[in-house]
Amino acid sequence: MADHRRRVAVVGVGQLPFRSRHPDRQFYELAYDAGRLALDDAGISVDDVDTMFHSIYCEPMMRQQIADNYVQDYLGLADKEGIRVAAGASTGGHAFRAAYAEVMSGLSDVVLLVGVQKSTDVVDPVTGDRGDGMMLAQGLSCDMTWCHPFTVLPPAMWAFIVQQHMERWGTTVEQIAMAAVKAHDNALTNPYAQLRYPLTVEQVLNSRLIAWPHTMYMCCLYGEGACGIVLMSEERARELTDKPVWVAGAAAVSGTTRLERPPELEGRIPAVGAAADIAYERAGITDPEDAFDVVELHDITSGIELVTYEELRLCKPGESGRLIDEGAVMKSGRIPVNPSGGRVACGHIAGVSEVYSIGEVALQLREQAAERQVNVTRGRGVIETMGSGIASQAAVIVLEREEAA
Amino acid sequence: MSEFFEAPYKYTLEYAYSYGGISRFFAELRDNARFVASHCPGCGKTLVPPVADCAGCRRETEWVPVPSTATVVSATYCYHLPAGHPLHQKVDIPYILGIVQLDETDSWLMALIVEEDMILNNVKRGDRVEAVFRAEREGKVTDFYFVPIEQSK
Repeated sequence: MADHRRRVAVVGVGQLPFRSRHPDRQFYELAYDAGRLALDDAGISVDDVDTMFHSIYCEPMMRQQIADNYVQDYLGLADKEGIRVAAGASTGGHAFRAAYAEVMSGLSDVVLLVGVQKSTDVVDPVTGDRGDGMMLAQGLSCDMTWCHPFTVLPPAMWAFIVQQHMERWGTTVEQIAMAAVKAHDNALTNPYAQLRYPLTVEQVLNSRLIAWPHTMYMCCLYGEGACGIVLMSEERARELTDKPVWVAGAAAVSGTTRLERPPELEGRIPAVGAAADIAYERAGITDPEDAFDVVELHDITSGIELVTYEELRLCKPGESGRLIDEGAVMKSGRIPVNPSGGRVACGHIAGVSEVYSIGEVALQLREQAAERQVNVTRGRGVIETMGSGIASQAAVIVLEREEAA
Repeated sequence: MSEFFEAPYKYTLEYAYSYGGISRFFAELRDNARFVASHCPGCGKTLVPPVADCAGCRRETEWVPVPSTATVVSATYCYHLPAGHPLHQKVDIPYILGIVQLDETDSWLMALIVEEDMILNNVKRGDRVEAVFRAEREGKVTDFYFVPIEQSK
């Protein structure tokens, strides 16, 4: 069969700062802001867009179902094609994978992908607390029969994975705390980060215990915002830029929603591993330990970050603690992970964070990441997004420059 | 920050939710205070949470009784739960979010583990536990909780 697949470029990046709340903008207004920034960055107008993709996770948080319909109209794209994708905190990764296939297939030449989520207009009915209201709203992503009656907090639901990692390989709470410290150090140079203050290992360990081993500072922030990306066919991209960032490969996986797992999968996140293997095969990556200048991954908790190094094949199973100890994942290290500050310090809201991470790696490869710029030698970066009931939906995306080694 | 105006909006949904093909599990739980599991005659897997259909074998499962004793797979000591969450009607915070393997099953089940002392990580993997069925049951996984009967070494 003839291979008609086309090269796809990321040409426009639009980011808004992560904030606990953007009370002065409604969801479609935030989407408008981010979409405009992405179109401006690409150097095109809204009329150039063939199809819009929507990365929108959660209706109860937003107080609006089919939010994509309202967003697309407000952006001036009524009566053009528009498709929404939702997949927990992998929503943006899954949506990007769909948008990439859209351009690759030739159905569209120019796609605008916007992730948006309002999340702190919802309040806890007892206390009025917005963070708890948000947790209750996103809780409908849990298995409603078998999990939701017990908790709605990912740091609690996913703690068993981290505990198994600690039991199986001797990973320590100090190593997990070191990942949180790294996140906060990196966020210091990111003007879009929600928390910008340094922490020590002791401060992380002594912060409020949420669900063992996860303390407050090891858990992702929740906030709201919007981010946009413009994807283009090679032909259109070359008209606009001589430095396109190419999509080398992408995969979006739906994993098991059951808890039981064989011994060899204890302390692991199989959906992430599967997404990495598929994406790397598509990208022709054979040695992921030495393939990337930058990694932006979903540290929903800092414990989950360590497990994710292994699922992204940045090291062998059980070796993530060593990667932290050696400093390999620091901004100046061999494999910089989350120079943005990641979900723990930069900020998190499903649907938006993932699009942010993709844009962040594109900016790094364009060497436009200002103070958080890493050293680009290989010309390639990877994004991982993960979420849902039992860490069970994940996407992995590989971006590279023209001259990637 | 520019000006904004906000107003309250309250909207409540209620469900009368059907458990479909696994209704028997919840009927046995509510009416007889006992566990039944789904058993696949093809692969031999016995599961709680049960399934009506075994996708791999393309077989309908059968119901089999299973004991109310179990082994702890993990015990997560939880120190936060939003005030509006219904679990507050059942337990005090902190509480133990357990994953247990019911005896004679091949599956893991999320469940409450209740222990008086609440000394961090005192309940751990390998501990033996037994289900206590609440007097008031409505056919939900919060109708029961586990208590320790034997600590692992």
